Amino acid sequence: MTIEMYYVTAAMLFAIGAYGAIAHRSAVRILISLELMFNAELLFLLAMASSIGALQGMILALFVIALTSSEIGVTVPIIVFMFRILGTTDVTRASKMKG
Amino acid sequence: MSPSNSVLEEFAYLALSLIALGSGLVAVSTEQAVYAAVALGFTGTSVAGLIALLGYGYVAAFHLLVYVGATVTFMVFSVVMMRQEPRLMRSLATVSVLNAVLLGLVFYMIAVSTGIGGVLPSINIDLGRVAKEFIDDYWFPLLLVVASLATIMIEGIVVARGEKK
Amino acid sequence: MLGPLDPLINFILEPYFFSPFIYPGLTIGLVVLLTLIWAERKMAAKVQLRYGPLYVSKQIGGALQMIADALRFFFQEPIIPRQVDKIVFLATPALALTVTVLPFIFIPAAPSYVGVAVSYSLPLVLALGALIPVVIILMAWGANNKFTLVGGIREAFMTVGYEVALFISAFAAALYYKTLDLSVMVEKQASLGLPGIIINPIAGFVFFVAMLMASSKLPFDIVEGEQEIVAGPFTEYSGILYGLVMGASYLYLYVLMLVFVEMFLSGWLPVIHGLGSIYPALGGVMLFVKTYILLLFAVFLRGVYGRYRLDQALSLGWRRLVPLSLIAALWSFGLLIAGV
Repeated sequence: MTIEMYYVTAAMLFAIGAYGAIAHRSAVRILISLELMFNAELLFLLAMASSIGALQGMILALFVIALTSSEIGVTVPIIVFMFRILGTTDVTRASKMKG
Repeated sequence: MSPSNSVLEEFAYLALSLIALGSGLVAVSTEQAVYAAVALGFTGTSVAGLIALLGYGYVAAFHLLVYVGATVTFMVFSVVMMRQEPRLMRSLATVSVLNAVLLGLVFYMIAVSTGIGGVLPSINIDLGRVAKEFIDDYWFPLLLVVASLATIMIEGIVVARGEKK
Repeated sequence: MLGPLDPLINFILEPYFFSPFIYPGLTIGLVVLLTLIWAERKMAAKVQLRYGPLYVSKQIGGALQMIADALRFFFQEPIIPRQVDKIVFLATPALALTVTVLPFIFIPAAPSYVGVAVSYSLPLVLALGALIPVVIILMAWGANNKFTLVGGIREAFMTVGYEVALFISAFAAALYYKTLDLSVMVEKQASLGLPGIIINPIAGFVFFVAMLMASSKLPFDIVEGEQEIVAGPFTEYSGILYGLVMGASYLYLYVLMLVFVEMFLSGWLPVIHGLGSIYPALGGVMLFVKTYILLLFAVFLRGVYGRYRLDQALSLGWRRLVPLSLIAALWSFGLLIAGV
């Protein structure tokens, strides 16, 4: 059980999330792919913290999880407003700055 | 006492990683948004299991609470907004796959180059010590996080009410 | 002592297998489920001045009805409609039951007898229980049917309504005990001599009501309300799949009731040492007795209350239960400061 094994899993999960974030059009799907990347980043953080400072890593991870939830709380209303104004969640249609 | 030898740990790691990566693949490639949200829930659960395998049990419980709550919210929104579901952008397919693979490699290289590696140390953190650290050293970030979460809650109420005009 | 079967018997008697699968886990849970559904039908019938199911075994008041029902489920042909998503349709009942059985690993059944001993078993049990609505919404979407869709959306709304009150009231009670471990909570109640419901009655009441909302029991069975949306997310199921999904919500009520008894009613006290010397888990049999009596009370409420509407239930959850749970947290905090 080496730390590099966790790096491999986290890197692959990050790659999958990155593919989803680029290849999707719907804002909800992009957000889901971003959440996948967050999960991978959390694994990176905790795997690195295991050998340096486990206590600080744990505290930082708890803060990161709480702030992730508040970030979802900001991003989802943005999508709701976008749907109300534009009538669609397609991000390619949200390319104009007015309106 | 459970046989906590390294074979069981490796098997658990393999199973949890496969579930995490498999449901991640389902989350990005399925056509329906609800299945993507449920797959995100499964990924969150297996990542919580991997975190617990690393030794951070309380963080795993916290992660499970937050991510399962977020998944349910996503599902409601993707079901409610189910008209006009745009498809994947086919023109970007190869570029995005290439980019994803390269990003994964870059992150792995960064992580390995920090030199932090080797055998996983066994971690046993007393929750009382964590609480003491929070109150002694990190009380200000804690206050900020509480304030930001309260703001998010008020903002959610305002956005939800804004429809009845 | 049984020769070649010895390792197998030893494995079955280990806490990490016995607790989730036999007692208080899957097997005893299924027995509780069968008797509980029968008791619910009989009690509701008594309130409504009728006899209840009396077709099978008329001489003993229809007591074998549930065995007849279970046999019928096993032999009935499960019909798979054409328009459903087959993998999701067939997998989600088993998934729902699996996810419901997971919290049993962390619930202690007797002093120092728990499947996996961690010092934060309360958040783990509640978090694993929060996975159940996810599976039910998946089930509702996979059935590809307007009734199930409405049932699934109702389930999502109900989840949003009760989760905050459930968690905050549980943590308010844990705040006074200064621990997040269920076994330590029972020991603290033993040393204080008072059950948790006298220490913090507001938290107990809020947890009880939120528990009824969580397991879709009347008066909150909006999700599976028969008169409105056929059977909600479970509409398309027949045969053994129907038996499985109908049992899942009772099993979740059983899990939450175990947690309630351990937090608020002194768990397995008084410990029966005579039984405990035969096998450690049996020393905490009072936990099971108290849970069963409270389960009978919870299903008795079916005959008393009318069904809440969805907006009434959400308003109850957010306008009354959440402020009450915050008051419960303040009460615990006040008790701690007062040095009681």
